Amino acid sequence: MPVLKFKQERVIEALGLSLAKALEVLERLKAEVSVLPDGSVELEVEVDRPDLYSLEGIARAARGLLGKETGVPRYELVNTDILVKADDVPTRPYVVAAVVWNVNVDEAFLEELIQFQEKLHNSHGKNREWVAIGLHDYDKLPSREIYYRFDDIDYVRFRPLGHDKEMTLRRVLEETEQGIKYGKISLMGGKHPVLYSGSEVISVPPVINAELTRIEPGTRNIFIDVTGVHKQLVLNVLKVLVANLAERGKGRIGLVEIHHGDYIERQPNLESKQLNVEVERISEWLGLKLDVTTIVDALKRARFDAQVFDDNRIRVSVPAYRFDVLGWVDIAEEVAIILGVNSIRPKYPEKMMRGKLLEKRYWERYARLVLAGLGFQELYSYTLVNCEKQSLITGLDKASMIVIANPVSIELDCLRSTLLVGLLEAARINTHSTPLRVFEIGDVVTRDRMSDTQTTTRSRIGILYMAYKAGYEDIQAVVYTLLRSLGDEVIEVMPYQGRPFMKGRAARIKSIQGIEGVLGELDPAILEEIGIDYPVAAAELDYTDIRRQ
Amino acid sequence: MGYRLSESEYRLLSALKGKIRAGVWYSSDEIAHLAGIDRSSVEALLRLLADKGIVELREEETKQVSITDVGKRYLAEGFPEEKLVSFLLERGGKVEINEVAKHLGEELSIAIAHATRKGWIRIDKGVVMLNKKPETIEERTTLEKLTRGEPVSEEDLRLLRRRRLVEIMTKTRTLVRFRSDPSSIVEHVVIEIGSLTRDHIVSGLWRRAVLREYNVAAEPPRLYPGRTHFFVDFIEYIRDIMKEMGFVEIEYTPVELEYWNYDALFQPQHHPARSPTDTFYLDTPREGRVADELLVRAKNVHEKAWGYPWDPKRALRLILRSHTTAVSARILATKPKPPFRFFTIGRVYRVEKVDPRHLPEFHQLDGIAADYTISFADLIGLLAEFFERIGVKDFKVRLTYFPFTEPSAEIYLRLGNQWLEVLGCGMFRPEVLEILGVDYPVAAWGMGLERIAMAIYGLEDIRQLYSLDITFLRNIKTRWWIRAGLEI
Repeated sequence: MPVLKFKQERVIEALGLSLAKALEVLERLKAEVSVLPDGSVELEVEVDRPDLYSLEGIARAARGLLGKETGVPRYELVNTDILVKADDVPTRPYVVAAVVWNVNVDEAFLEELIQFQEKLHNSHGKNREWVAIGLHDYDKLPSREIYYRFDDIDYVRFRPLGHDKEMTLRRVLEETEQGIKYGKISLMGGKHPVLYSGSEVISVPPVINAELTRIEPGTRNIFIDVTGVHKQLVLNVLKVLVANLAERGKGRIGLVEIHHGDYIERQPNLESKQLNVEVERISEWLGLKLDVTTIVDALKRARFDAQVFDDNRIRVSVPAYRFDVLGWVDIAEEVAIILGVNSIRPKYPEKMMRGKLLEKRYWERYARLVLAGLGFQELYSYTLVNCEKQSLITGLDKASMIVIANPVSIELDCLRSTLLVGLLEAARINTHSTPLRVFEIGDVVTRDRMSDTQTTTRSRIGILYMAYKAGYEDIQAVVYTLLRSLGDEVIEVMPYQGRPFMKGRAARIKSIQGIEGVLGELDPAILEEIGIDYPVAAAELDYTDIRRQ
Repeated sequence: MGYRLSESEYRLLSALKGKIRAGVWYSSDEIAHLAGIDRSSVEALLRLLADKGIVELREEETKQVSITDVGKRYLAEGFPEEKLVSFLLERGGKVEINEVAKHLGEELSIAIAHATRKGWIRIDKGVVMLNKKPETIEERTTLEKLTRGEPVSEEDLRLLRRRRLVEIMTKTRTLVRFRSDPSSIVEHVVIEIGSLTRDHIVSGLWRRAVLREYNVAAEPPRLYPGRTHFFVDFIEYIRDIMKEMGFVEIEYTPVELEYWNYDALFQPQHHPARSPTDTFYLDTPREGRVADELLVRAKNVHEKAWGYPWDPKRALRLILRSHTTAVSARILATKPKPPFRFFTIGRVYRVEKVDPRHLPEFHQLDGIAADYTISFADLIGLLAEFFERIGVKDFKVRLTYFPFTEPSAEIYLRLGNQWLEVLGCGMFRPEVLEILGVDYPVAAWGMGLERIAMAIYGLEDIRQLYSLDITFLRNIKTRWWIRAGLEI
């Protein structure tokens, strides 16, 4: 969730409310609020509400919630003499622009503006890859003719924002901090997108602007460029930017014409989206009996317009900056926000339905009782294990295990395919309390080409006995007693040869109820490598296919 | 007179019957020998009998003189001063000191010192000269007397001690005297028994015996039963509650396709959670399979709503599931007929470093309920019922955002005096239902189990839930009242 920080006095000023009241309103707008030790206000807003990334947007919503100002906000759209001529830029094909007048930037607002821009980059721009924003001082533009081109980085020269001298674009990309971070996103074959005002570079999206058009305290009017690879996302970001800035700038937005070859468009388009909703459907979805008036009133306070058709149908106008609203369920949620979630009373379940657990749960439960009765302590361990350790125990190589590409630590880079990894770890750390009797019930995952996930989950029970003297019979007695107590019987026993057991001292068994497993004495060579200096006898039984007799 | 005796005291007295007489002093060695019991136990028993007034004890100190190794050697090989004298005699009573030194070696200074003291020799200008031929050596005489066991005077003994030829040790021995004959004592005693055995019953000894009274408040020895694991017990308990509430259990493998974990749940492919900083991606195996029709539906819905080109390759990428909602998505895609309630409890995985508050794997419970008319209010009602059953009375609902539900809410539970955010819930969005191919509303929730379990068991560190330390597991207290539905 985007985390925003504002100065306390700015929150009070923008919302026109006392701090306490402001915090209460913010909570109702789905924001998590906390006041930091330095007095600033920290807000966690939901990623679906970029219109709440700036104080003016928050204030707009708050005025609605409090009923001070309702319905879709109106902004004055005027033509400008700015013209963007866009060439084909294959790595970043879309560019749009707009002007917002009378924004009147001061110190505090400049910080908020940068924060707004960065949060949009992260939440909607895939960290500038999909969408990037350039903000300029309109009055510093050398020319009303804006060009968007794909130019050779060795021939473009300008003074990047925050640097004291001119350099080639190549140097900007290769040597500046921003260049190193974002320089590869839209670079192709030595060419990069460049935005010019007349003949002067004003931006190299998505990397950095030029010093030439720097916004600073005192800047009055703002020129915005938005570039990107997906048109709808680019347009959405422009809409929320201009609508929020216009809240500060007394509502005047300048349209910019974009010429893309013969294709001409004028942006931003702030037309509301129209949605038809039904009172009944919203009521049923929320489980709250609502009438037309209540819904209409709520929607107006949510800054939507609502036109009533009849008792059931409402035509809703959604302001352009609310592109998170996709359909009628989002309208339903707006109603819930305005009315307050506590207006929805819990409806306790009345219908009787038959619950059921997986059959194997009952086998597990008896197995746990029997083993506890035999003096075994149940363990519960992690399913993330170390590949190498698992390899040592099972003899499997990495290609046949489930290996994580981005583990948090090398100790946890595999999903377990045997319970013995955890049991042996328990043995290793408990050598001071021998004789040790432990077991674990849990899932392991193995490879399976037939499955859609290339893997299959198996339910296993692992049992381990460690003592001064621990042998095959010790574990065999436990396994046989367990199975017989559960009404089962071993029907096949074969000598087993394989890790981590000792040759001639281990067996593979099958039971009538469908259990298969291995048991025996562990190879002291493996024990030694793990760091256990006691003999260990262990069993691992697979009861995935357990069935009644 | 009826003494109270322990069994071992009784056994000692019985063994001495007819072997000793009253009023006579015996050493404890003798008693041990007569009774056929080892000396250390006899001494302990005699002290106990003395406390009861049956015997009298007396300690006796004796001096024991033993000849040291040096003394023995002098007896056998001659004293150094003897050697000196015979050497002088051999050489006519006058020898250069250097030559004497060669002959006597390291005993030279001892020989000279003693022979001079006794007046046998004198030394003049480096020459040792014999004064007279000695008759006897007192030290030798005394040592020989000691060897034969004859008495020697204190003065003689002091001389030997000074030359370290003898060692004198004081030994204490215990002497005992019975006030009356053991045979008559055993007739009248009462036997005290610590623990009753089958032998006492068979021999009838129990009739004369008194069972000693216990200090009933003393700590008993520690026992460690085999026990089921407390966290597994908690999970099983939650399963039972879900069953009681009419939910059917389902499960699926934790290795999952991005499709079921994210795409089917309408989470856009550029969502920040879909990155290696949040989700575990697999190295092997890498890619799974999904039916074409499901891919097509996801593509259409994503592209229409979010306006980006949806990549089917990305949807096939294998990960470790980040929530069990993936399991709910899978069961919905089989288009079960409503009304139904399903739940799953399973491990989920997130890229988190291990610390007291975080683990890269934890448990989630996911529940879904569908009916043709189910609502958000029904969902909160189901959850309220669930909370009451696990003993939680207070909860708070807060609206939030998840890509796959609308409305979406987080729920905070009051556990003791803390509010815990444990649960996210909501109505599946129509877009999700469209992708999965169902045409009825579905209420869903997912909750983590670790934090509730920690609150119940009073644990501060999440890693304790997975502790392999046998001492910790043996000592953790069960919270039986939780299962009785009493308030947490």
